Amino acid sequence: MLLELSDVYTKYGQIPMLQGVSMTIDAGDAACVLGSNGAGKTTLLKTIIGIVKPFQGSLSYRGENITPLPSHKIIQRGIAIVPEREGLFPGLSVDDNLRLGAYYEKDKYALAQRKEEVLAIFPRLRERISQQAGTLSGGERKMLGIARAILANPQLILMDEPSLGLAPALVNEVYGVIKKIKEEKKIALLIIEQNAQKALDVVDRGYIMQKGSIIGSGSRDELSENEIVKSSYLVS
Amino acid sequence: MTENKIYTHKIEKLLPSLGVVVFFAALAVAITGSLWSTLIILIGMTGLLIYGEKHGQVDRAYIRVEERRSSTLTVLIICIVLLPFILKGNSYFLHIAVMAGIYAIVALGLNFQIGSMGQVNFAPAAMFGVGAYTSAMVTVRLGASPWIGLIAAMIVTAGMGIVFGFPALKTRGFYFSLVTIALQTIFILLVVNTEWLGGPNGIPGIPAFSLFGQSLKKSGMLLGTPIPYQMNYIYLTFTLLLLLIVISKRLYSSRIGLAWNAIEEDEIVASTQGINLTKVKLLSFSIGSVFAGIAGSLYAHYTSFIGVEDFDFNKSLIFICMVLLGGMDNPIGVTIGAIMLTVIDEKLRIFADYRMLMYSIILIVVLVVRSQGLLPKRNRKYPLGEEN
Repeated sequence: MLLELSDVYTKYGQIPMLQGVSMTIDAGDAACVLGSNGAGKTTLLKTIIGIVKPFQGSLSYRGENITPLPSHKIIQRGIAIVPEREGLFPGLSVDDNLRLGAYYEKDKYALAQRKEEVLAIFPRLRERISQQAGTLSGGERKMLGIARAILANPQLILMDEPSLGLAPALVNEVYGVIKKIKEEKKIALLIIEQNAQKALDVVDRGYIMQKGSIIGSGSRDELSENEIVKSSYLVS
Repeated sequence: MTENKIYTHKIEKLLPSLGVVVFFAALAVAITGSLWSTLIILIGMTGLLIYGEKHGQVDRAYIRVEERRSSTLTVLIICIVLLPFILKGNSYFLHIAVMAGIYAIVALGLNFQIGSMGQVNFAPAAMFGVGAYTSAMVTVRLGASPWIGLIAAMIVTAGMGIVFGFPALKTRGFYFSLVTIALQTIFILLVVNTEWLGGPNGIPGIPAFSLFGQSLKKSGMLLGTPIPYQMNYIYLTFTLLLLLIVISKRLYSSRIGLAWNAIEEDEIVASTQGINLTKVKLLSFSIGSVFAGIAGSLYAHYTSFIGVEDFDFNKSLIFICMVLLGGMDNPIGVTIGAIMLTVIDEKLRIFADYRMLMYSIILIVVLVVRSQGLLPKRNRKYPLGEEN
């Protein structure tokens, strides 16, 4: 078991957010969390990486209790995050952003080697390597976010709505890359999505979230047939 | 290659060294000349940089300097050695150069907070003062050597930097700046009201540094001409300045420097990349304060008298202007900014009471024309992996 959340409760001030969330992710596993706006999906990610602390329940990563750890220690354990929007450093170059992804790698040459591999997957980023991240297009930013996460050499990547705000063609491109990561790099994925169709193409199983709780879960096929998913997230 | 091309190529190779020589010549003219010559040099420099940037020459200049680093450095050192002689051994001119060097060191330290981390610290003069007072107390009250005073100043400012940095862990932006203004005020009040620290009268009779049994405050003779003692301090100050510029540049291209930039951009995102915010932030304040401490110690043992007015809020503002004018997060830019502003400040003495007014006007004009500072931040370079 890679990541385990057991009965996690969080709140923002007085407002309850997560209400007894339990889930597990295994090594090399790909799962998604489907839910509408305000369901608590992003809070879930923030809780996993320790920005929001639960007041009840616990999180463990590879058997270690990570609930009390500060964010940077959790990240060091091998979790990377691809944030939804403002997750890059817009004033820094693409190169700097990539370097920050692997902040804990001290070996410059090993890093350069890994960067070469990552840039082979994202040739567009190589062209823009010395440009400021803020000057990239929406799709390129998303790619940079993913590239940065891979560079950290994690066992688990958390993705916050990778399809949000992208043109359909770009969504396909992003998901193509995600599929590649899953198959080639054997990195476990937890994808938060509203675009259930795309997410279910990639993942093995998923959870449905509503008002801070998990209201259903199942394998990809089970979810595709699920009535809630069909009516709320698979409108085509 | 035609003969003409070989010739241009040779000139290109010499350009970095030539640039250093021109800069020192300009500096000498600025120090010895009138206010107008100083202003013309400032305008010329700004114009040259704007023109150069438009035509991509600034980037090429950086590359050329990097290619010929050792020869450029040699020329730079020769220029520093010759500086006192170019300044005609005039003790007032030499004094300006020493002060420029000391202030540049403070500005370099302040740059770690303002330039790298985007946290506007309004208390650099207080930290400069902590260094000066520590060094003065250790030597005057305890009778230790000024070198011990310098080390004590470094240790105390490193600790005080952490104290001053603590608010930065909890506050951001304007709120943090407000806290540092309070700290600056506390420092002044504390010194004025503490008899043991000399109170409003300051501390007189601070001994000078000595090297090999020779006091640096002794004027010497060279080839039959008297050499003012300020020359010794020019060498001491500029040696330290050079060393600290190298350290600053190293820090800029290190992981720490990158982490500082990341914090400036977005703290939360920085922490999601695995950066330990507490450690990295406190490091910025601590290292920056050590720089100010070194400068403070130099100042105390150079002027042999320190008073609380040397470290007041106005001084802090001037240090901030040096970083802004020189160019944030670029050690060379900050050094040039600090040197230029120190010289201009001295030249403005002819305006007597209107000095600060003129100073402000010059600053406003330069920053409106070139808002990013003379030499802005540069992109970092990373080693390349093997192409496959």
